[in-house]
Amino acid sequence: MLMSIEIMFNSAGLVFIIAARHWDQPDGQVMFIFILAVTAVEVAIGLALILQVYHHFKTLDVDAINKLKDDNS
Amino acid sequence: MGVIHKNNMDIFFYIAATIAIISTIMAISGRNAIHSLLFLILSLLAISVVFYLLDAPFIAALEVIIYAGAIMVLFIFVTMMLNIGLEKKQEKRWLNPRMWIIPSLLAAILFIDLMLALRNMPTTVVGKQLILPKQVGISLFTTYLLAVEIAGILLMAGVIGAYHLGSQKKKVLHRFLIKK
Repeated sequence: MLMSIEIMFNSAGLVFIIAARHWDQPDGQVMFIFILAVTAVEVAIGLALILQVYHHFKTLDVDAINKLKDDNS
Repeated sequence: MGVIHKNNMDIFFYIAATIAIISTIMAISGRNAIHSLLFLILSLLAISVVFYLLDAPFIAALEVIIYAGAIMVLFIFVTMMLNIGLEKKQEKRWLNPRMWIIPSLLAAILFIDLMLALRNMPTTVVGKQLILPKQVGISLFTTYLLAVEIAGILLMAGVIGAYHLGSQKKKVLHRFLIKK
């Protein structure tokens, strides 16, 4: 789900912070702030998409969502 | 005295890192969505402690406020609103050991490789000084000013996109798709 993306972003941010500490530069922390902004946008869009999918299909099973065409018109 | 102090900090770091790893594993292997979200929040708090021990207190505060405070609350809100039940049989098939043992073995080899590389790396400066939030702000608004603008545009696009997706609008089909 979307939670795993959070975990991956977090691990990337952790690596940036460790690199910033290792080389004594503030650039890694700047990059972590950018990662934070990207994560916030991604969560907002992803949760809006999940709500729309749930309204359309009444399920969140990804295998049930296999049509591009809107056939329940 | 300095050695004892450093060892104490090391112990705190290892405890926080172990809690982070265990709670992340629990978060991605759990069946119940709410339980894994709570484990994910625990993992974020542990990572924030790790950031604090890595001399980045500003980033630790940002992690607690934004990640654990805002994003995770949004997650829990949507999950409780949708009221997701237990997952289906396909996830059960993904969770049996044959599916994930090879990737985790590769990741473990990569981890050992990274650890050996970091051990053999010559460390020049041992006594690091703290990177203050002032330095971060100066670097953010001088060197990375263009990236800040781009992040602002990205946030704007996110707001517009979320509003567009969230608005319940009347369904309008293309004229070729309307069934006669």
